[in-house]
Amino acid sequence: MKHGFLDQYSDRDSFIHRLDPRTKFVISFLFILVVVLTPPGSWLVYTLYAVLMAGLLLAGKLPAGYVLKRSLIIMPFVLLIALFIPFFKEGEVAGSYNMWLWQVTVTYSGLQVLVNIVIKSWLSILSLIWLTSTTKLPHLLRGLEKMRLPRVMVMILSFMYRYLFIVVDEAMRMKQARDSRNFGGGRRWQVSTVGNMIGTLFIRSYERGERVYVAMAARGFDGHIRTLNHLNFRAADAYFGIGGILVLSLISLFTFLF
Amino acid sequence: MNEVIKINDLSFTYPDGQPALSGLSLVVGQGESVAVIGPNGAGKSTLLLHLNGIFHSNGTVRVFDRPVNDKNLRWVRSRVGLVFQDPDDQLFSPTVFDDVAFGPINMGYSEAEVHRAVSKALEWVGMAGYEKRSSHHLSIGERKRIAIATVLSMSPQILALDEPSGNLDPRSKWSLISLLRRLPMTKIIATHDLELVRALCSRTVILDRGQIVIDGATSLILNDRSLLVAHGLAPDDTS
Repeated sequence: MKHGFLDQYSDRDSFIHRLDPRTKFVISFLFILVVVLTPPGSWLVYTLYAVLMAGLLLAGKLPAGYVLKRSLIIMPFVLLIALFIPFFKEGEVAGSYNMWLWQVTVTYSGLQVLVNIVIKSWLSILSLIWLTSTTKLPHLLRGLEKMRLPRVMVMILSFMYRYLFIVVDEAMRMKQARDSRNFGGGRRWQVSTVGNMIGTLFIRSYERGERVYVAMAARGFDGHIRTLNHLNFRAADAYFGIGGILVLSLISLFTFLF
Repeated sequence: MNEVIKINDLSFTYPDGQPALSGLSLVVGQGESVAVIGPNGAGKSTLLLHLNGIFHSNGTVRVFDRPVNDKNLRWVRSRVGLVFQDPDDQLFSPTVFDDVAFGPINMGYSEAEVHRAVSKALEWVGMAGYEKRSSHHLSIGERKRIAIATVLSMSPQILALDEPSGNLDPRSKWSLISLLRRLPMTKIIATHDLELVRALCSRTVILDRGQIVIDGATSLILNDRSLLVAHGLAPDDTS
């Protein structure tokens, strides 16, 4: 079975795709940083960031529909946290409603905080989508490793990338096997089979972990992780990196001008 | 004949008390292709894991006349290439290159040597040009080949293969057999695929309940129907 949900579109070719993963990593995190540090209500600055991000996404030849759909992932989390702010923040009252027994008021400043949080998180997730959709995960991992992320963490992430698909396949096969023997049954019974499946999946993954370790040991693995480095920083990376940093600092300067 | 593997009275019990091998002795000479056949649970995989020092018991296994113990572990692992049954266990890296390069890097090869070893190993298994692919996008036959390349890249002198034809369709199986036939190393193949044994190995060992039942020429053993029936390798027509 084939899956491409992790780094779909990362095998396309564009100027952005050819950049060194480290350059893209730095730029996307700087982007998130300046977006998060923008004072609330700087609508012009937000617009400029959005335009910049749209440009980056376009340059990476990413389909707009895919990016928008993916960016919605963050919304449940944001809304869960921020949805109640307008009701609790104090300030000028925007509206007051009588709900059965209790009086609910919404304030302007609370609404502003909510909108700011939604915009900031949406711009940030776009930046991460841009990074992960234009960089193959193995390259990104190598970039992280070169940026001194501890090897063990890189290794864990690379195992996740490799075995996620296998675990998903295993889960799908178990689901098929269950469905083929499922003749109705109550809801409670259904839930308990799901519990058993999760347990089985856990044990299988654990056993696979042991077999993988044996396969690694058989090829001389002794607990020290060794790798080769293939990344090279090109002139294009330098231009893009410096250009990106300049544009980002320019936009963040606007905050003080208006 | 040079002895490359010498096993003398090897016994092994799993930590949970399940006996796997008892009093097993086996000598394999240079360049031989030996099939180890037997029913499931006979101890075939356990035997292979001993060749490479994954399990080791009191120095009764000798490779090129050196005991397999903690001191020789690194050396033994560069001599004996172990290919596991499920290529998904053996291929754990994001790309094919990383997997094939894993052994050579651990052996301390220089970067240029690693690249040379990887391209040579991939060429050997007919998978040149697959370096940048991800293993999970390859077919099972292709993954089997890459799994073999991951040990060939360490230029081992002995290949130990666990069920090389498991899960393969006949076409992939026969192309794998012709690939294995081209490899000049000493081969020890644990399997219950008798077609593969007939095509590849001149010598056969039947293993059952952790013990060697018989050790002899493949042509003799595979034609002894009652022997195969007795050890669950052929259907019993009388019942």
